[in-house]
Amino acid sequence: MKEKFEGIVRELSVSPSRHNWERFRMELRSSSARYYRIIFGEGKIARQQDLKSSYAELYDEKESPLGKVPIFIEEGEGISGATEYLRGLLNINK
Amino acid sequence: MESRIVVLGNKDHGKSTLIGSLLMETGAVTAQRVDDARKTSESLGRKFEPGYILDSFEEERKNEMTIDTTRAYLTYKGSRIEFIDVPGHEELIKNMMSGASYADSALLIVSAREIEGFTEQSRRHLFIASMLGIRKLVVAINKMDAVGYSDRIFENTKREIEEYIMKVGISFREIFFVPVSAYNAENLCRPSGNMRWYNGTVLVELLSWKSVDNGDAQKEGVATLRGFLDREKGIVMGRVVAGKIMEGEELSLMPQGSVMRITELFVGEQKKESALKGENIAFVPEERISSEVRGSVISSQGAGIESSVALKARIFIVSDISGDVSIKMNGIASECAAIKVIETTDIMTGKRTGKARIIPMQNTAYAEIETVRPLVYAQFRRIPELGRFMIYSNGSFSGIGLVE
Amino acid sequence: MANEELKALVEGSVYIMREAKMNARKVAALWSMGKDSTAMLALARKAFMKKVPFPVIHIDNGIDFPETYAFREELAESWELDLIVAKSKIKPEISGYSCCGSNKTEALKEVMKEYGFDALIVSIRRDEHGIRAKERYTSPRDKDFNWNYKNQQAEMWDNYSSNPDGEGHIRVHPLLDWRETDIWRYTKEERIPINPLYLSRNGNRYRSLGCVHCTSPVRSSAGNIDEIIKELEDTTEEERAGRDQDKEKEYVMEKLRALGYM
Repeated sequence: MKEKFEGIVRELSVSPSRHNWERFRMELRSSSARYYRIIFGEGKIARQQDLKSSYAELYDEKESPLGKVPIFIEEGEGISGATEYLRGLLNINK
Repeated sequence: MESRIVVLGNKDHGKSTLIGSLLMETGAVTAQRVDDARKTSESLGRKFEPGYILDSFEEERKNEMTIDTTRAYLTYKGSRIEFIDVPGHEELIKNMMSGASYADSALLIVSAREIEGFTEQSRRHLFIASMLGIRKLVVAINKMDAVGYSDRIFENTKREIEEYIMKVGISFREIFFVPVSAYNAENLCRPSGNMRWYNGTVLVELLSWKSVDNGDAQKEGVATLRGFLDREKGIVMGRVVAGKIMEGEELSLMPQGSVMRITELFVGEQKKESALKGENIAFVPEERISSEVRGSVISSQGAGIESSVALKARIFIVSDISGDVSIKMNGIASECAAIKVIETTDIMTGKRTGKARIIPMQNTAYAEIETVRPLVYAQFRRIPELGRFMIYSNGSFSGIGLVE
Repeated sequence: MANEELKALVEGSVYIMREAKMNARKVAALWSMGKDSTAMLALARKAFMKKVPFPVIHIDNGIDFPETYAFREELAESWELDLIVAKSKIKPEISGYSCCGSNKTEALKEVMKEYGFDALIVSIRRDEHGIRAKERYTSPRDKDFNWNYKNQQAEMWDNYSSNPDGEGHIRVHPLLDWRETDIWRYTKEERIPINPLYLSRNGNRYRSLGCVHCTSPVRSSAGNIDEIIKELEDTTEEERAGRDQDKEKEYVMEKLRALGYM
């Protein structure tokens, strides 16, 4: 189970497609991920590129990091935000 | 409810300075805001101006633009006070009226300096405040520091204002006068050592007193109907504007002229046996109402609510009335057939003229208004919601009226 | 604040929403899942027998907080909301007042047009920002959403504006008189569900919620609504201090432009 989740987390960072995000969503429920924190690449999102270089760090119950996922969906020519797929996680507020 | 105070007065008589000082004195603004105001004053090469606390936009400050409507809040001894600062200039009189119509008190600021004094604009503002039904008036005679804290000048200005009020025939339930220096924060929150001759109360204290409510003027229940909440089920919605409305009591429905009873009454979404003034209700009548209900009124027996196509009112005109005239009362527009002027009054001098054809702009008249369809109304002083209206001519706002 | 003051605010808001429903052809409300717009929907439930009788629109730029999305789903289900999610695209470059590269106004314009809404209920409060001091309970916007503040219709007593010009719409502001603490008191009194981000975790909480990017938490130990109210009574910070300040400036500038100041 753990490996499956790690696998999809890795795949997402290579290819944040809608399909992969849906798979992530399925795996998230049974994973140990509990918290998230969003880190902005350039400190800001002023351009599309900045969203691409931002990511969410995932943590387990003990607040130890589990890996990073992007926060966007690549779809054809455009991109859109993907934080909806992190539903169920709580902001670590740190 | 908190006190809502409209701030009136001529430009340059110190409105912003006074409010800014009050906010600082009562600790209602953050140190950051005060510091910002200090920096702005410095960058403009002026001495510290408390008025800049109010003007929150750099752009507005830099260009010294008159801000249209500004709000400021403070809490004094647990009472919430909201200040509504309205535009001073003439062309924005309708904005001034819009802001002032939600106030229960007015703070008029008049400069004690001879060259400033009780100006035409101050008079007009005062007149409009009375037309809007504002009950409490506090007059701050400002810039006392510039006139040597003279009690004689304070008394003279006070008398001039009192005489004006009597001459034009307006009234307030309560009137207070207080001599202040807005800039030095004298008599705002702390008594001034420079005006020991004044033994009244400091300004903020006067402002924090709740104005006398005229809620008991009408004891019988009256509610205006807003429409059907659910037309299929026949559920009607309305708002109680006076007294108490009870489930099961015999109510008259106007202008339909019928009698009805409520079998199920709700305040908001909760089932209740009775509803009080101010509450939004929904109800199921014993017998389904088939006519349109928006604008109708239900009232307890003896409430004295009538419906007619003619009413007498004191009106105030901001622009010429011509073409298609309508009035809007309690959110509902009614076409007018005629406005017959009985007498006009010049609001500067109090001079009355009978049977005038045209009402001079920014003046007042006692008039008879005829509507095309019957209207349910009451005297303004009895039920404000059913006794105050806006006048439109050819679709634009032209004035207001109070039913007498 | 006394209960009667809160009661007066509630009755005022209920009245405004009922009038909006009666005056407009087709009404919608904006819902950001924040405390204000959620309290506004609770008031709509009070006004209309526990059922919000109009669609609620979420302008979604795709990077709201995960908690916000979860909260949206839960409440939309339990309150049986007619939810419209209007997705706003993230563009390569930002222009004008935009959120995280997406133009929320564009998305709103599209959804208003698609459904033909002529009234939009919005949860702004007058004490949020100085620029809002000029707002009225009802405020007409033209087809480009411009606010002609210099020639606003007179709005007095309980006579609200109802007819937008041509393709425009009316903005309705039932919470204009409310303050931040009033919202919390009402939220507590009516047990309105809240987004968990408002409560302290690891010594931080969100006081004002935008998307993940333009909002940052404030230091706070408030773990329940009473503690939030207590904290707000003591604070000297502005409510939107946790918002991205550059964006706040941009927002104000944009508003000032609409007001004809620039």
